[in-house]
Formats: sequence, C-alpha cells, structure tokens
Amino acid sequence: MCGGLNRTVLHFFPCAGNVTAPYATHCKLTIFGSAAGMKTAVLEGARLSQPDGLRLEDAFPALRDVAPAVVGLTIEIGTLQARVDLSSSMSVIEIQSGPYSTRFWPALVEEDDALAESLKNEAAKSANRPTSSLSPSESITKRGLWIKDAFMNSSLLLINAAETAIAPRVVARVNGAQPEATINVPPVGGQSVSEISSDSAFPAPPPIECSWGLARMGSVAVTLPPGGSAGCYAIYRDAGTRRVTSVCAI
Amino acid sequence: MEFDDAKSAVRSHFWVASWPFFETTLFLIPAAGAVEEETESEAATIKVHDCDGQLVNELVIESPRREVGCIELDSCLGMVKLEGGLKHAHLVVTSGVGTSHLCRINNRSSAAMLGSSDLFSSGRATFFPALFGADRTMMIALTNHGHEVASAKIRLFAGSKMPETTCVIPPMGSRLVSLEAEFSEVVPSKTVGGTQGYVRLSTRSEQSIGAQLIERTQSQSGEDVYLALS
Repeated sequence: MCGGLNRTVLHFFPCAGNVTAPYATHCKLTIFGSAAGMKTAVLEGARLSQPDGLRLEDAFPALRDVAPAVVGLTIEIGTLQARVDLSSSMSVIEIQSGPYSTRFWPALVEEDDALAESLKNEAAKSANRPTSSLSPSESITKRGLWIKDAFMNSSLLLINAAETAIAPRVVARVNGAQPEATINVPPVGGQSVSEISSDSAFPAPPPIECSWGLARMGSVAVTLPPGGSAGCYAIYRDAGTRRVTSVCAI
Repeated sequence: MEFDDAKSAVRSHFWVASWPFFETTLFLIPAAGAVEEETESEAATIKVHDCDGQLVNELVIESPRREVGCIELDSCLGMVKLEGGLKHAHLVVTSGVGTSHLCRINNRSSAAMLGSSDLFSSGRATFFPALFGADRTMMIALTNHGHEVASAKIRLFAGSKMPETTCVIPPMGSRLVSLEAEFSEVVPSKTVGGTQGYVRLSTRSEQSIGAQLIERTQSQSGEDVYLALS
C-alpha cells in the first residue's frame, strides 16, 4: 500500500541453508498496478545470511506522490554464485500506518516445475508461507478465512503479475445452512491488483455468538489459473478505523 | 504448516497465549472442493503443551465439512502454567488433507491474525524485522516441535552491532523472549518513531523450532494493541 498515511517497507533475508559465507546478493523489485505503472529496481549490496530492508518509496520515488492505492510487488533474490541455492530465502512486507505496523509473509511464486519442486521441498514444507501454485502447469484452488465481527472486516486481494488478464473463480462458503455462492469477480487485468470487499460481494450468513459478540464467518475458495503469476491475499481491516490489521497469503 | 504424508493430514504449530494480555481463537478452515454430503464432518485434533512441554489438554473437534470451525482457546488453556507472567502454550493442530488453520489474538479493543509458527532447523534459518521505539515492545515466541531439548540462537542486527543470545526450549515446550530485555545494552535508546533492526534465528538442532513475532504497541486511547506476523 502506498500513498496517504500508508508506507510499505520491504524486509528480505538472503538465505542458502547451511552456507553462511557473506556472498554478495541482489534483490530485484518489480511494482505494478494502476497507481504505479510497471517499474523495476535492482538493489545491490545485500549479503547472504544478513537481513536487510528498505522503504519501497526509496526504491521507487514515484510512489511518494501517488494517491492512496494498492500496488503489486514481485521480489526476486539472486546471487552471481552459481552453486548457492537461495530457495530458502524469505521476505516480510510491512505496512506502516501511523504508529501501527502490519507485517506478513508474501506468497512464494514458482516460475517453472524445477523451481516449484525445489520450493516445495525446501520452503513450502518447512515454512509458514503458502505457494501461489504448487505446480505452474496446473490451476489450483485455495481456501482462506473471511470474517465480519466487532473487531474486523475481511476483503480479498487478487494480484496478477502476468501481462494478460486472468479470470479467477471465487466461491464463498458461509457457516450455517446456506449453499455456497459464486462471487461475481471481474477479470483482473494484466499487471494489476483488484480488491473485493466482503461487505458488498459476499453472502450474509447467520451470526454466531462468541465471547466477544456476534461474528459472521466462512471460507472463500479462489481458483487461480496455471502459470504461477497470480496470487491472492485475505485482508483484515479494523472494523472501526478500516486500518489494515492483518494480511494472510492464501 | 506441515504435511504428514503417512497419515495424509495437515499439522500446524502455534504459539498461543491467554491471561493477562489477550485471548486466542483458533479457526479451522475446510478443504476446497465439492462436498458430497451435507452431513459429512471433519475432525481436527488439538493438543495443548504447556511451556515446559507437558501435554495438558487434548481434544477432538468435529465440525461440518464445509464450515469454518471456531474454537475459543481460553477454556483449553486452564491447566497451562504461567511463564514470564503470561499463560502461554504450544498448540498442535492436526486435521484432514486440504484443510488449514489460523489463529486470532484479541483483547478488549483490537484483534489481529496470528499465523502458525515459522520453522527453522539446522539446515534453515529464519528472520524477523524488529522495530524498537518508546511506544512498542517486541517479543519472539519460540516453540520446540521435537522430543529433545533444543537451543535457539538469536542474533540481533542493529546498526553495526550484532549481539547474540541463546534460548533453551524444553521438548514440545515454548519460551517467550523479550528483545528489549535480552539486548538491553544494544537496543537503541527509545525514541519516538523507532529504530529498525533485524533478528536472525538459527539452531544446530535437527528438529524444527517454531518462531513467531509479537509486537505490543498502544492505541491513541492508551489501550494495548497486539500484532503478530501472519
């Protein structure tokens, strides 16, 4: 997120398993979306096994002047050392809004089957972060939590890093005796981001009584096309202030 | 999240806490795919290990296959002992193929999602960004997923300084590490706005250790706000 009171900070950690020598690494960032256009920056000077980070607007000064918006970001960590396997590298995205910070792990992307297998064995099995597609040659359906209560409202964020538009299928299942509902989601254009609010698009299930009050909840299933260039996130905003409190890669 | 291939199940490890700071709720998210019968149910096993690794509670939850299961964990943590002034535990959730799990922490005024612990072991380190300031506290919650004592190395990167400390975690137990307390001599003097640092976690243990970042800050009304990595 950028513009207004929101600032995005990227933290990354080049990691190669048991290799701890401080080899030089680089980080390639690509942003896209209606507010930013498509821009790429390469950060040099990072070292293996040493965390680092920067504000996104320092890498892309044009973001300082845009209206509040959501942009897509692709992060690639690489090195010139041919024998170093960086598949266990990781990054954290932090959205700063005033004194509050929301941090989340971004989804991993596989560009080819060999990399998909490597990530599946290394990062997807041992880490907390879902992959955008277990195999880039197959579409995959993933399910996330949506909730509406006194604390938070949910929305769904669809990211398309490919040049062509995609048509994801979104189906919501709600708790209670109601059938599942297919959500009418317009195609997501090439290199763009689309947010779907649960207030407007999702069915309204009967509330459940919890210790903190009434809560409506359900699950949302998102089917993404093959290719590994699309991802989706569940955004949880504070019910009163609309501030983003949590982001979960689905 | 781990995949138990032998039993075709999904297992997640969480650090969870209760009194006095916040409460934790567990959500069981059903698998994607068609539901053959509306009466089908999905079973999930929940094990609660206290900070010293002792299994203090075990329960099986049955919920309709297509619905989200919602379990308020406060009543499940009754036997958990206090450690560091906080009731906290290592939660192990196991359920069927394709399902997933998520926790949420809340106090009176705010809530935030709590993802499952990020794993590190002898072949893989992990890291967290840490923001030090007058208005916030950063904590690392560690859970030992194995049946041997594990030792985690926590190295802080703050400017030109890289101090390191070690935390020993009992089998299946949990520990809470305050970064300000462990690195009090190095953490920058508290200023409004904060100073950015990083924490790298590693271990020589073959078994996995879980880690979660918990941040405490204050709202404009002066109430505590807790945030976690998701």
